[in-house]
Amino acid sequence: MEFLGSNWIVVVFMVVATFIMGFAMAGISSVVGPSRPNKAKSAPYESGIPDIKPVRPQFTARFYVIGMLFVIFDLEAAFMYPWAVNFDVLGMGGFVHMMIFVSLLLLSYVYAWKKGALEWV
Amino acid sequence: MGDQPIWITFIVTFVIMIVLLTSMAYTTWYERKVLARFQDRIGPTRTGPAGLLQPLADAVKLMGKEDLIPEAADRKVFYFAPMITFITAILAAAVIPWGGTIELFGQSVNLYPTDLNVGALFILATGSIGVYGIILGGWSSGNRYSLLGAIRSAAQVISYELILGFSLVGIFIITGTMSLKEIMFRQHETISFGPFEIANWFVLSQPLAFVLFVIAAVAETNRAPFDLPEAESELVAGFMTEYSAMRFALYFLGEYISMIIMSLFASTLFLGGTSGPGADTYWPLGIMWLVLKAIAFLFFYIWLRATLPRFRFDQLMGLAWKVLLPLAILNIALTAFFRLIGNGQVF
Amino acid sequence: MSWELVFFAVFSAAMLLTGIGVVALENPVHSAISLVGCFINVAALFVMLGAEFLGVLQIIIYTGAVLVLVLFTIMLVDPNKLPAFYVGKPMQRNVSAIVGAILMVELGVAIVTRVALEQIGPHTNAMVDQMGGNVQAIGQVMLSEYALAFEVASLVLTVGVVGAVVVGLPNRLGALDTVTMSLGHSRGAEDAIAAGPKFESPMNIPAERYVAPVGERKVVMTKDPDKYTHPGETSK
Repeated sequence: MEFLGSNWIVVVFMVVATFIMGFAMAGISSVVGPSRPNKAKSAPYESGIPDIKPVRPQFTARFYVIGMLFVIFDLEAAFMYPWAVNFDVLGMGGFVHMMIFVSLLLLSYVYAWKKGALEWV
Repeated sequence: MGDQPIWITFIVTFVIMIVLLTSMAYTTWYERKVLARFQDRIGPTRTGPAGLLQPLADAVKLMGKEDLIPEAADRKVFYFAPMITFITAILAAAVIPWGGTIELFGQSVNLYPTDLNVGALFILATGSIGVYGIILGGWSSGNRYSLLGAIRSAAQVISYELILGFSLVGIFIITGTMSLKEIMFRQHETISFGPFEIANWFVLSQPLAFVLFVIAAVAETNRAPFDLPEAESELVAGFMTEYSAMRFALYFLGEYISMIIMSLFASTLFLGGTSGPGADTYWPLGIMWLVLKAIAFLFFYIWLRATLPRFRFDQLMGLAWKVLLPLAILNIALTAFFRLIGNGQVF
Repeated sequence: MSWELVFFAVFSAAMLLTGIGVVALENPVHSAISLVGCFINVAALFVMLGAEFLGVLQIIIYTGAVLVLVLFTIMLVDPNKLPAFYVGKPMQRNVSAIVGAILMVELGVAIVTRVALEQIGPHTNAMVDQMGGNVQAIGQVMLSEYALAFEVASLVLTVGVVGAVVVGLPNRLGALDTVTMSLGHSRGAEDAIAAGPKFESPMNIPAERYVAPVGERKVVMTKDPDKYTHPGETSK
C-alpha cells in the first residue's frame, strides 16, 4: 500500500496545519500582548497566600490502582473490536470464545470490587 | 478511498477546519445566550446585533493579554502542553463524514476529509493523546491546584474513555465495520415494521449504548456536571490555573472543539448522521441535518450545565466503574446474543 | 526519492531521537513525554506498513493507557527519593547491555529469515485486503487459529487485575492512602503524619484549651480523624 495514495496523508496534513495554527495563535499574544512580569505575578497562584514549600502534594494510591485497572480493561476492549467487526463471520464459535474471555475478566472485576479497589474514600 | 485528486481533499479538509474553528467561536456565543435564558437573563447584546461579535471581542482581548509564565513552571512543557489539546481536538474531525461523494464543478468531491478503516477508533486515539495536554499542562505549571486538577482529570478521562470505547462495540457488531462513513450510510437505510417505515438509526437498536455514550462524552470533554478538572470553586480552574492569554485560549478552543466533535460523532454513530428527509437526493440538506443534530447535542450539553450540580469525585469514579462499566458489558453481551438469534446462528 | 521513503525517514528518525531521549533526559517526566513521542512515531510506522489497526491500538493502549499509568507513578513519588536509577550498579549495566544485544540479534535474525530468505508468512498485504482489511483479518485469525492464545490472554489480564489490587491495597500503602493532602498549606498533612497519631500540644497547655495559631493549623483528610486530633476535639 503506498502511503501517499492512502487515507492517512490527510491526517499528516491536519497535524501540520493545526500545529502551524496553534503556534501562530500562541505566538500572536506573545508579540501583541504586554510583558511586564514581576515577582508576585510569576509566583504560583495560591489564592493570595504566599507559597511556603515547593509543590509536591501527596496523592492517594487510588489513582495508581485506577490507572492499572484502566490498562487492563482497555486491553479487553482492544480484544473486543476485531471480534465485533467479524461478528457475523465468526458466529457462535466466536461468541462462545468471547464470553469465556469476558467472564474471566468479569471474575477479576468482581474480585477488584470485593477487595475495595473501586471504592474511592 | 475516493478517486479524487489529493488537492481537493486538502481543500475540503482545510474548509472543514476553518468551519470548525468559526463554529467553535459561535458555540461560546450560543452557550452564553442559552445559559442566559436558563437563568432568566438575556446574555451578550452590546457587541454587534444580538452580541454576535462577542467571540471576536473575546479573541481580541485574549490576544492583548500578557502571556505569563510562572517561575515554578517547566517552561518547555508549559509552552507545548496546550498545543497537544488543540491539535488532537481538531484532528478528530478528520474522520467525521459530512456526506458521500458529490459532483461539484465537474469534479467528484468527497464530503469527508478521509475515510479510515478504523475511523471510530481514530477518534478514541486522538482523545487518548489529548489527555496529555491536560496532565502535562497541570504538571508543568508548578502549582498544586493545577497538579491536583491534572491528575483528577486524567483519572476521569481515562475511566470514561473506557466506557466510550465499550459503548461502540455494539455498533461494530451490527455494522461489521469501524469506518464512520459506512456506519453512517447504514443508517440511511430504512427498516419496516408492518406498515411503518422507520429510519435505521442506531439509537433505536442501541438505546443503552447511546445513553452510555452520551454520559461518557460529557465526562470525556470535561463538561458539567463532570467538570471536576476545572472545578472553579475548589481548584480555581484546575490544570489551567496558571495559563493566560492565547495559551489559555488554546485550551478553551480545544475544549469547545471537542464538544463539537463529540456532538458530530454522536450524531454520526447513533442519530443517522446526514440521514433525514431529502438528504439522499440533495447533499446540502444532509449537511443541514447533521448540523441540526449537532446543535441539538450542544443544547443538551448547555442544558446539563445549567441544570446539574457538579459531581463529587468519588461519585464520579463510582459511576464509571460500578455502574456504567457493567452496563456497557451487558449491552455488548445482549447485542451479540440478539444478533446471533437474528442471524440464525444459534444451534 | 519517493514520498513514502521521505515519510519513513522522518518517522523513523523521530522515533530514534525520542527513543534516545527516553534514556538520556534527566527529568523522569521529560523521559515519559519522549516515550509518548516515540510511541506515536511507532504507530505512524505501523500505519505506513498497512497495519492501521495496530497503529491505532498502539496509540490507544500504549500512549493512552500504559504511559498515563507511568506518569501517575512518576507524579506519585518524590523524584528526590528515587533510587539512583540513572547510574546503576556495574553488574546491572552489564546485564542490561547483554540482554539488549541479545534482543538486537534476535530481531535481526527474525528480519533476515523473514525477508532475506523470503519466508514470508501467509498474511501478506494482498491477503489482508482480500479478507476485507486489517481488523477483519486480525479478528478472523485471532478467534480461530489463535483462539487458545486469546483465552490465555484473558488469564494474563486477570492476573494483572489481581496484581494491581494487591499492590495498591490500602493497608499496604498505609499513610499514603488515609492522608490525602492539605490544600491550603502543604506542610499541614506532612506535619500531622510526622507527629503521628494523637500528637501532643506544645507548651503544656491543657489539650482541651489549645488552639493552633493560624499559620499552624493542620488540614488533614483522613478516614478516622480521631487518630490525628485529641479525643473529643473532632466534633468541634
